[in-house]
Amino acid sequence: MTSILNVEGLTKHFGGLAAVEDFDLYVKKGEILSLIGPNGAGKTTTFNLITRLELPTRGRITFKGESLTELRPHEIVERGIARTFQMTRVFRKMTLLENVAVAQHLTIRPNLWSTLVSPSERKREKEGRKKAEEMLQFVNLFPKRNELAANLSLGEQKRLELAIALSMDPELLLLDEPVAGMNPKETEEIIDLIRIIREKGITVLLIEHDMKMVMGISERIIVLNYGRKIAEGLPEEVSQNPIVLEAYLGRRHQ
Amino acid sequence: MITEVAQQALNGLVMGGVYALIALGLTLIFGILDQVNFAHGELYMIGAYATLYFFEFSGGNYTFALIFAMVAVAFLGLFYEWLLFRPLRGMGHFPAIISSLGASIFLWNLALLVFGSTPRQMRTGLSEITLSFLGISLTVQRLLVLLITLGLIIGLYLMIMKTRMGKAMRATAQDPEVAALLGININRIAEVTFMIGGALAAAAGALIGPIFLIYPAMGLTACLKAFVVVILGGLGNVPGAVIAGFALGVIESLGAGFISSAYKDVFAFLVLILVLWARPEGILGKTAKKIG
Amino acid sequence: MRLPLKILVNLLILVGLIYLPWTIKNPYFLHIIIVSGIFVLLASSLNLITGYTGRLNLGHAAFYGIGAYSSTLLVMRLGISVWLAMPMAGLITVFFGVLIGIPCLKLKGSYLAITTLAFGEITRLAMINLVPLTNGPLGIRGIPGPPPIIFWNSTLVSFESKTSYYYLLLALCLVCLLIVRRLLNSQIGKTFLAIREDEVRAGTVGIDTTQIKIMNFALAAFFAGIAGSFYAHYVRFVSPDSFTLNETFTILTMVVVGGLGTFYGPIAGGVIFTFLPEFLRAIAEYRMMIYGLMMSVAIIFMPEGIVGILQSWIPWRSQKDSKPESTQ
Repeated sequence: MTSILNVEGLTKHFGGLAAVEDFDLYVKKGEILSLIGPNGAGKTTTFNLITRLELPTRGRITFKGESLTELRPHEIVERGIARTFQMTRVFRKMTLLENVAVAQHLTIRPNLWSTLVSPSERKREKEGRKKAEEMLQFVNLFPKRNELAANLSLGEQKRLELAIALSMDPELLLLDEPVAGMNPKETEEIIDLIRIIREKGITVLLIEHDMKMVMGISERIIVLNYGRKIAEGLPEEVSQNPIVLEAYLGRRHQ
Repeated sequence: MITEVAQQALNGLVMGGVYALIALGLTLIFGILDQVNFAHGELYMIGAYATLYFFEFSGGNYTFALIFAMVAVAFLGLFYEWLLFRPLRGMGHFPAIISSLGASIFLWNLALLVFGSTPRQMRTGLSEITLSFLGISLTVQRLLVLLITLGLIIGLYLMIMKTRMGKAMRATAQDPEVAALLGININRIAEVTFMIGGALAAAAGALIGPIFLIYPAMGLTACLKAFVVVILGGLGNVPGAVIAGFALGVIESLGAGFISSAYKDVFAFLVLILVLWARPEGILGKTAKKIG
Repeated sequence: MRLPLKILVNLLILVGLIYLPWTIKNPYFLHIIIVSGIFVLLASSLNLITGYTGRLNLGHAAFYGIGAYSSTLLVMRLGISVWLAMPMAGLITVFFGVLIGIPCLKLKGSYLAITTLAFGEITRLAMINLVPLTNGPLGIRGIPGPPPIIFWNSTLVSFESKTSYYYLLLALCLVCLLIVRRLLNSQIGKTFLAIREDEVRAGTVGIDTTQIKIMNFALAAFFAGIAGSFYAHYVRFVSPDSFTLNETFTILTMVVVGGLGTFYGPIAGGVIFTFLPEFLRAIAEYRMMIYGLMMSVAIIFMPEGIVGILQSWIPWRSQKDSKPESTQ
């Protein structure tokens, strides 16, 4: 088994509050791993820590054997990790095409000189545009490619987020609640897309609340509660685990 | 030597009080309404001119002039809210910065036209009387500045902490959406905030007028310094603005007295750049977005 | 061969611009056109920072002034030819642009505005107080213009008349604007927009925001510095009075009213706000007031600027990828 992402003892304290506490995680290359837990369990914080939007209090994160500490967010993308956001963060006043194309920054690797002077730069940009169009077709947003991202519905924005993430040519894809707020049909479409992504060899780490989706698509599940891992294993195991049930049900009673 | 330092420090406190008054309005506007008022210095400048005119109009009644100037500029603050900020509410900082910047340019050039560029003086006679104590001297005017500043600050504190309006203002600062849901009229809060800001800035202008000269561009430097104070004290942090205001006044005074008086205004800039370099969020930063 | 309409129109405008000086009898009118060209450069460069990348720079006149003074000093103190001094002045301004840009990296919004304002003022104070270098408030007179372009013993172009200056400026503007245009249509241009829209998100799509922001400042500084250099050798006199807050605000008004974040906005703004004072001579005293008023009104009622409004009426092909299928 090759683990592509390794997280050891990850801890994040905000003042006196522990958002994430001593969290161990490994992601196998090519698998779909789901991270679940009640609201506020620390799932998105974990994503933020992996992508260096937040700095851990303690802990190590290695990706393909290389440590991710000391890196800046754009360098995380360089290493091959892309993420989507739970509250969609698209570039609102840019068109869909521009949203996707701008994420190809690292494939195109522009610098000032080559942009102004080299003709092959323009060729690469043209290719980039084609690739962006393909991405939009993949998520079924091609007809709206020249519209401003601000005009999209929530479901469409989530699909745009997916296209943006794929544009970065990632080896590991972090999806934060990709189907939240979607109707069953849209959810099905996303599930199909994720399956296709998996077949392309991209590893997926998924945060979701939609249990049906999580059980259907995951190969493994990790459960967080109050920042701590409380369960880990195959979907069948986790869904029967009394500690997990209590975490969800107990929360509801509070 | 000690007396020299104390003297400069005391003068600095006087100036600092003025900075604090201007900065308070600015920080309230930011803390409660999450907006930036680049035209705040003009409230100060117009306050000074208004005091001058009311002073002459009333035949030398300083108290009358001070009060009327504060009231008049409070209404100017109201216009600010109606014309410059309400149309842009909820659209982030950038448009409001531009609109208030435009207003600032408009107002101080208007003042230039109306009042002329020659600096004016306000002779209240209180600058003539000096009190001395242990080798430190203080004109009555400066003493008045300190007293009135402290009085206004205490008054503001009481207002924010004890009155219903103050509670509503604090609630809006915490969370505007929840405040609105609780039935608080955000537009009314905005109006009150700007009126208070205007009154305080006008008081600052009224108090400084007799000590220094009054001229149309005085709002610009004051605004910059007020921003330094607000950033140092933390945006929206009321006690922070007071402390930072006095601190800046003292730093400036000591610097001008012992290092160089020609570059006096530069101290504020240097402090600003140094602070922002070390902590781009300001000394207390966004987390201090609270009142009291 | 059918030329696209856009290229035809551009060609026509170019021909018109080249022919322009010959149609103008009044040298003062030509002077105004030249000044508007300088402001087109200044406004376009400010637009790079404030319009496209969304970072408010209230110290832009400092770049203008540094370019002007640098060029002046290079020519008059070091004896360098004007033709060499111009690009050098641009590079010196870039140096200061990076110097100012680095502390500004972590700042945004009003913090950035105030800091750049402070830098602008500090620069102006330096111009006034560093007398041995800048001759203080009196300024420097008698700056030479560019030497005549000589080809095989005969003078091709001499800079005695305004016409030569006009063509020089036209060439500078064309080169600079073409560079800006190319940049904005490129991947780098997209990163500017991304940083404006959501800087943190821009980092998470792989953009090195530090590198791009510095590049952005450096570019804007370069063009503003070139404009300053041209100004110095055209007017032949520099003083701190030409590089004050008023200039920065004027340039900002040009960008805001012309159209923040559009290519033609600053061009329109630069031309309009240079000609406007001429037609409104009678109310010259009200000039800055009107600018301030217009800036506030513009941002409230027409934030996309004059050009933005025009673009929404006419289905203009803006620099967006409007027809992606038309690859060949």
